Amino acid sequence: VTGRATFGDFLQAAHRQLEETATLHGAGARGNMDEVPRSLLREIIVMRHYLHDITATLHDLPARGRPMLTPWFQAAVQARDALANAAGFLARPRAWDRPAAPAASPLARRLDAVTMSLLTGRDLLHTHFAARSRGAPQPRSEWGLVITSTQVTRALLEEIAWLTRHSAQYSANVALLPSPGTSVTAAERRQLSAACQWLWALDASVRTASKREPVTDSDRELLRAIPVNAILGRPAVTGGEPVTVVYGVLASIAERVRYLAWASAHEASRLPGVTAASLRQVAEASTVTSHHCHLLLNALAGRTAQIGLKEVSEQLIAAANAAADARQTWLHAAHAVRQVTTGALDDQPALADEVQELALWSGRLAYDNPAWTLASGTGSAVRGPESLVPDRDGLPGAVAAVHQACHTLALLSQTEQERIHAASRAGCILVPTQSLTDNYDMPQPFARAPVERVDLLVDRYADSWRASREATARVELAAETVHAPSRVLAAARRAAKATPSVPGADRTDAISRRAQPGSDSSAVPVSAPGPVGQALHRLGVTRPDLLSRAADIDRAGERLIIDAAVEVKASRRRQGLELNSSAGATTLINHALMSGDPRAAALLRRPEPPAREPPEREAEP
Amino acid sequence: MRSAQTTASPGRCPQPAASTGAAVDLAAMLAISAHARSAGITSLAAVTDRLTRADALPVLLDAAYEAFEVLLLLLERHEDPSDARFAAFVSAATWAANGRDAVLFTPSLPPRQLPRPPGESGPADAPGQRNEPDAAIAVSALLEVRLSQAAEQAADPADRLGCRTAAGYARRIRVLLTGSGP
Repeated sequence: VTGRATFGDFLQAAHRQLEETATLHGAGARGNMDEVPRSLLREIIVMRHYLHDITATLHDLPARGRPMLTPWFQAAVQARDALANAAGFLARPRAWDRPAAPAASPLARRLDAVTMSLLTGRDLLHTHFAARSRGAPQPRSEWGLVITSTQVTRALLEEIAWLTRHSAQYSANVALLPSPGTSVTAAERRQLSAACQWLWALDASVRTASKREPVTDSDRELLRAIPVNAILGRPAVTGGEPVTVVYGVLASIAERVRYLAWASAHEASRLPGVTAASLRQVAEASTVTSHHCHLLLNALAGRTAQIGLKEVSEQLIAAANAAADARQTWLHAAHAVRQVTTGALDDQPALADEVQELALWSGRLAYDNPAWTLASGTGSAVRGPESLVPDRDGLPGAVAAVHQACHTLALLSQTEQERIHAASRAGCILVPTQSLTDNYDMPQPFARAPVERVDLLVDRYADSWRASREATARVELAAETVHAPSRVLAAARRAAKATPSVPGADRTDAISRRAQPGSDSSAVPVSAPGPVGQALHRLGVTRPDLLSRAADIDRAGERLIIDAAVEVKASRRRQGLELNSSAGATTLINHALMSGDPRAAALLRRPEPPAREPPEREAEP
Repeated sequence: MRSAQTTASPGRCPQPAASTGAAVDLAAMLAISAHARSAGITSLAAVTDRLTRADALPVLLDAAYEAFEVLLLLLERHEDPSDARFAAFVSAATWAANGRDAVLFTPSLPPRQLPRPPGESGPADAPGQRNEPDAAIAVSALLEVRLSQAAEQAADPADRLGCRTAAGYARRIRVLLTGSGP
């Protein structure tokens, strides 16, 4: 959201390799049969790791609640099997070793580049999880919950299907092209063709799932927005920046706070060294920040009313009121945490310092004073609407900054509760003896906090969480209405809490509602006509009626072949039958598979025994 | 977690003298007390008196502990979002709680509150006195001076550390409320 590398960067790089096709035909394709199978196998291996990640998460669910019958679960399992079969046809000794030199073949080089992008993208996703030996990985950030959501899983499967479809298309062409002067055998060509056909079977499985439960634009946006889980450097600022720069500074600090909040909660669960000083500083800065959010949202409501955005203005007024409620609950939490103590010195100064920065920079936005500090007092006036958003174009950035701050406060109210629980379990929450009744006879000025005092403290933070969550939900509505860059946080939050899978079911999922289910973004842009249509093209026929008849004949032929294959397979009489016996037959099967009919998988055979799966090693490009 | 020792032998508390930090002499301290009392802030006046007159470290720590508690209550009363100093009061209250804790873990703090002179426990302060912030600034300055002096002269290193830390928190309160800091 604020300049970190995202999964979308690597996905885009992979797409670019397979979208720019000019160099993949003609003379450039020579020599491909030596290199393409190896490169395709390496891509398949990486994709298998993705599928392993997805299905491992699904298998970690309790058996009773496991979504065995959901379309996307079925697609994931079928995709995993299809990749295993495709890899089985291409398996060869040391196929996954790092190549000594870049491939000579343009297609192989592109497939290698796709593999590299996918590998790096998977590494990026893994930064959001702690290593675990078994079962689903443990999230280390708010995005960890998003990555394993249904929304992101189906968007990821759709992307994998797109990449396999295109990789298969080009590779299958290589298998069919004659390559005079090489020692390629017919069997090797058949193996490559069979592997590509399994990749199309994968694509068909995903397309079937997508028809039953479409992938929305919101899902795709969410997948692409997943950032690397790394802390950004502090923005280089001096305090005199224009207001539009401060929007970005505040958003950047909010991200830093969220990173540190997750880290500190994780750390506290292992080593509960939480101190009262740190808890107080966070509660105090959160109180002040929510106060600033209230001021900023009021100013934004005024500005949007001025420029005629009545709906947004009403949303912002509601958000401002909710932020005022959140401020009050944070203030109560601050009072409660001042009544307990701990014995340790500073534990997480990085978190406490960064939350202070959040209060500081939200103050510099809320007050008309670029050098505002907590001590500024009466010397600073609240910033007016025109000063906060000088230009209408700046509205999304301003809303995003406040949205980021509110979202961060909601997270802090959760992670601080975890830290208190951890400290309480370790017996680190103390109270001054003077604050206890005379029933407590303590030889020291402090004593372990009675359980009711700890409960009261936790209740205060729970109130803060509810109020901060409500304020964030209100700001989200405005963020989505004005297309603020932070709106992906709303989609992420919904995904993380497992919203209904039916698009549009969520009241705030405006992006999903805007998605056009009828627009088939999964169409194969490189799809060629069927054998009859290709023959007409070779004859130079351009009459639409003739080409349309040819397409009808090709479709009828595909249906006939598929129906027959399904029937024969049902009678179990086609075990091990090789249909890729000639280039013509292979072309027909390829075309039937490219149609996206999931029944076309009946045309395929599995790799011959021993058909041992390649070892589960990471490809090393 | 640092363990506290409650049996450490208390050292003598130094008399007020010229010191680094805020320049507050004995006369000024007594003036603060008188000012607080005239403003109806009786608890603040009483604790100021005790801080001023403390002649032994346990007595000073006992008074400092109570002074931070009184400051905390006073500052929380002023955490009003409609006040432009809202952020300063919220932050200052946090430092008051931290200061109290720094004193709480000094080895020479008596385990229980020391007996108060007869008649000192007067009526509770009326909430939200207009002069309270000024009185809070004065008391935080007094805490800073007395605790800094104690930090220089206490025998026990843990007492020295606690006094120095608490003095730092008192200074932060003063800076926040006067708006004189960064």
